[in-house]
Amino acid sequence: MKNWVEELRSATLKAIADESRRTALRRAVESYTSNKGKALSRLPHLSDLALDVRRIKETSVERMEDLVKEASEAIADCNGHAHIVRNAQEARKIVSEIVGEHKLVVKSKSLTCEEIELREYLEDKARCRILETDLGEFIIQLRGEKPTHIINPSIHVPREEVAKTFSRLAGRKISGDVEALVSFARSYLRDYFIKADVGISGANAVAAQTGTIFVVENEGNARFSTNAPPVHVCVVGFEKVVPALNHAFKVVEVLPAYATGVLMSSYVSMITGPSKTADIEKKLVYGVHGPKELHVVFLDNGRSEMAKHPVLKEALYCIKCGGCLYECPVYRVLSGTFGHNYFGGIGSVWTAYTRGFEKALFAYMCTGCGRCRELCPLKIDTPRLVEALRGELCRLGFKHPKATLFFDNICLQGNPWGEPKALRGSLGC
Amino acid sequence: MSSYRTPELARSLISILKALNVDHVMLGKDELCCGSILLRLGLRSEALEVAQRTLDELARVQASTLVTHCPGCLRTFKLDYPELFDFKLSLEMVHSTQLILRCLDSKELSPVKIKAAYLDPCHLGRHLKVYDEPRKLLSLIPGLTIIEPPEKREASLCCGAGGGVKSCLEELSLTVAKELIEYFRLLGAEAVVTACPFCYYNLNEASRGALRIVDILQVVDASLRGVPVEKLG
Repeated sequence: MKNWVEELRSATLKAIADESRRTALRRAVESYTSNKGKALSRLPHLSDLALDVRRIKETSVERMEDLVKEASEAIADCNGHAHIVRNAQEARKIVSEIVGEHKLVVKSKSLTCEEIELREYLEDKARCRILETDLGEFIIQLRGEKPTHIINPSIHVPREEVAKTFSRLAGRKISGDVEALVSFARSYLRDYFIKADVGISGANAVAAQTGTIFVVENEGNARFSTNAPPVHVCVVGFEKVVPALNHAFKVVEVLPAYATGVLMSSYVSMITGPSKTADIEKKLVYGVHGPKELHVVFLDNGRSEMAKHPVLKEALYCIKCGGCLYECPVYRVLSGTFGHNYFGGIGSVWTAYTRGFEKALFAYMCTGCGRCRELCPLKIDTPRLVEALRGELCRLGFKHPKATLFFDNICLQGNPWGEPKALRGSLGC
Repeated sequence: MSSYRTPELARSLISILKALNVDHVMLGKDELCCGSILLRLGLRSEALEVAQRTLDELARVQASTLVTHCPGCLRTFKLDYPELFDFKLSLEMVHSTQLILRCLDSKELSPVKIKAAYLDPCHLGRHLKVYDEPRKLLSLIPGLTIIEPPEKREASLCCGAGGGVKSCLEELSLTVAKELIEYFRLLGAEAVVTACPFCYYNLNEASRGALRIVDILQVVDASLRGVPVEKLG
């Protein structure tokens, strides 16, 4: 097995050589930056509101565990089921028990589900059929690939490749026209929403006081997946819980412009307990047109540990808009190679705590330029986080050999390259 | 960095300081690395060790002002030492462009005819918030046309050399630099002016003649001496 330093380098070289990926990224970045610019100029208050969201996140992360309990009780009060789980394994097990075997599941995009590899587990262990309904996720599911961006998972796939993938599925030629591609996905997935036994989603925010989950999206697939099937399972990280509705609204207001460059997302679903009616003789019955059962799985999986770190806890404030990735000069070159489930500098911290520090070595790909910090709505100081993470990596035995060499050289010759001291003195002073 | 990898920039700085009659001293062969590269790569205790020795060297020369051209060094002395090691340096710390601007007075400046884009170095701009002095300095040079790219100041793009990436993943640094060069080329720039030896070095390596890469010190030096930048030697 190659050592990690070589692996990092060969992954980098492979990504650099991929011209098709760069073409797709360039198109996506151009479109995103132009749209975001327009949206922010029409919503000048967002930058201040985002700092308000940061303060909300700071205080919420301090009492994350209490907020999760409060949210769980509120969900139980409205006849939903809340489950608090400590790690990925527990989360997969509980979701699998709820879903059952050989079921048809429609799923909307969720980073947290990706974090615990839920789809793979339900497919392999529970022999369920899972359909990713977010267009980007659908594309990469068909291609057997992993997401390369947290908001735009198929960012690396140009339209020509999407056409090939869809043509294979359809058994006929689907044109590379983007509208035709979208129309095909719509018609293909439509029946599955109705037939599905279970809908699975993530959440962008949870209001603890009322137990309300917020799901933000543009396509309408999340609303469909969380509404049409008789059972809805939502998997959400501890850090998404804020005290009350007004706090969650602020998160939801800031997110869309930075995530996709829209003033507001097409849909924000607010879900407080399962569907219900008391229209006949005031007798309360659950499961009218929406799900009869709602399960919310609150996932820790390293978040409490992250919250204990004096520097790295700042990563928990991230609202996962993904804007920093489009703006990152390294991501623009490497896309999905600059990450593992979570991407970019801040993603390395998330990967370390949720997947293991040995998976977070892509932290060494960050140039620490700080562009992400300036363009982050919450002004998260990612270069500082990356340096602190590298410190942790060094302690865990993942010290970059160049770093050791530089230190030895500085001790010997006063400079990292080990050039003779006399050269420095030769400039004349 | 300048002493070993870009000696032409170190020479230009000395030449400028002499032309401006700035009383200066160099640490010469006793000068130590600031430890920035160690901090960026997560070796904090090793960086602390280096920092202590560097501070001893600095104390020896009893200067009132510390000037560096490398923004990474300046950031390390000015921000990281106090924040991470609780070291407070009693001398004033400035970037070369800040010192030059202050000492330029009414020195005669010859034209430097280049249409260039200014690249805000990450450590100088975003980390130290020095955006205006290099621009002001460039605006004083006759004949020089500066193009401001849309992605500038806080949003300026990175050359790809920072954070230890130049050392650990050379090809990545060069690819980021090539993207940046292409960006400036499409803007119609004939050259890129930067104010950092790392940007200068990395962009030059990546450009291979595709676009001219110069440092602000070379521009000022050429203007003060009345010679073209390429004749500076």
